[in-house]
Amino acid sequence: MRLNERQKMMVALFTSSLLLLLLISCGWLLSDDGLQTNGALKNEPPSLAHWFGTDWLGRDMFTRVLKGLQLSLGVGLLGAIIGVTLAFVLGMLAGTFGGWVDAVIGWCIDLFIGMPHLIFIILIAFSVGGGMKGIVLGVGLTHWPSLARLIRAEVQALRQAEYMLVAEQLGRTKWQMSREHLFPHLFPHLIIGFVLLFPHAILHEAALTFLGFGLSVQTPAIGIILSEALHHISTGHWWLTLIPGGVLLLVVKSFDEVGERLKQLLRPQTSQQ
Amino acid sequence: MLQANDIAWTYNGKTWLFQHKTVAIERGEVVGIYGFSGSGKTSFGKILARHMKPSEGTVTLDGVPLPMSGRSPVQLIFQHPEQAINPRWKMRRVLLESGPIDRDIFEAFGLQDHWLDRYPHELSGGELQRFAIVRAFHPEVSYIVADEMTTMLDSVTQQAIWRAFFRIARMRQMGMLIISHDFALLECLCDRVLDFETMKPL
Repeated sequence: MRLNERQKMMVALFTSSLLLLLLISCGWLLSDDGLQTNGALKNEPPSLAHWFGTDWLGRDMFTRVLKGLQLSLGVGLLGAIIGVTLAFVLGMLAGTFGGWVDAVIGWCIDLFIGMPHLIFIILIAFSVGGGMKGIVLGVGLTHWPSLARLIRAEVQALRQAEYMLVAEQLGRTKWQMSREHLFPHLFPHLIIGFVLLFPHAILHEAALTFLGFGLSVQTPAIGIILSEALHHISTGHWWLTLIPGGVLLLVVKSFDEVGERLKQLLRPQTSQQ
Repeated sequence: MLQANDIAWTYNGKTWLFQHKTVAIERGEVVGIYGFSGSGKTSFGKILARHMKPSEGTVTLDGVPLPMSGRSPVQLIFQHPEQAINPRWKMRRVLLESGPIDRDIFEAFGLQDHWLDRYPHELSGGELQRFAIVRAFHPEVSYIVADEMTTMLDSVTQQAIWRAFFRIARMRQMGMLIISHDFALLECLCDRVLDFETMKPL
């Protein structure tokens, strides 16, 4: 069976989404038993009983990784929602009102883009007391500028678009025009911004925790697992870093895939490919 | 009667693109406006169709100022249809934006039913322009401003479009303002042609 471009994209989209769903539901279904320390099972390599091996405290790595991913996905989801909402609201305000509103928002965008955002995230996470809240706010409050700039430019361009002028001539109200012309045009940008921010937020969670500004040590998070496992790299316990790192990569890549495919599918030009 | 009284336009409040433009178009009349590129013909057309507010002067329809909201009785047809049609909409939705599809007009312009389920990028420029024209002919419209409406089309398509356009416009006693830098075209289509520079007949 030969698939056309569009069907191939659908398959890729479906597989990636399925993988992500599977990972999330696994985290819920697994019991917390694997997180108990067990002196008799220290540093076991991957086996049928322990698929991803065990760590230096005898905890099951499979359980830790999946529970960690679930937490990371939660962080990613919340962070991305905050970031995208901020970007949408500020971009719409700047694009619609222009003038000094645009100037102030534009200045904020430049400021946030001009500064290395990891420093901002660390500052924000630190000032709200770290933990999950720190990471979510840190990621959400620093990752809106580029999307906001895009939304602002789109709104400005669309307000001048001839088909918007025509709609006005045809008696459509401002609200109808926003709903029928403006929002459907912005929606794909929002979805894609969201899907692409998601893995980014997860990586930041891992990075922040790795640096010690994120979650506390006993929470099973990918960042913590990687950060701790680093101390054990030289002991030859490869499964402690390689498997969690690989799974993180897989999740991030799947999200990226979902985002890219959605971006292509939502363009009307791909409708007959 | 559609009347433009002493219209002026400036982008920056200092230099005038044009000033003191006055024209009156009766229903059923075809008036041409001839001028060079960049002389402000398009801006003038946009003002008549209330796309822009004039810097000075007023536009009145039968003695009353043109209403600034609701459906405009004066419709402007642009030079580039691909910009005047939402690229995310199928053609059926594009037409329905101006109300129920009028089969007579639809057929007069040679539109085909299967085009209705296509996206704008799946149609040619001539086909799109015909959709843009059909969309402009909603029941309340009494004047049409055609700004270089067929400039980007080949002569065969041009002729087909103008023929259908005039048939509908005459049937409904509509007034028309045709803006172009093609004098031969204006001379052949219009009852009178004005020079945009002086607003005097040519």
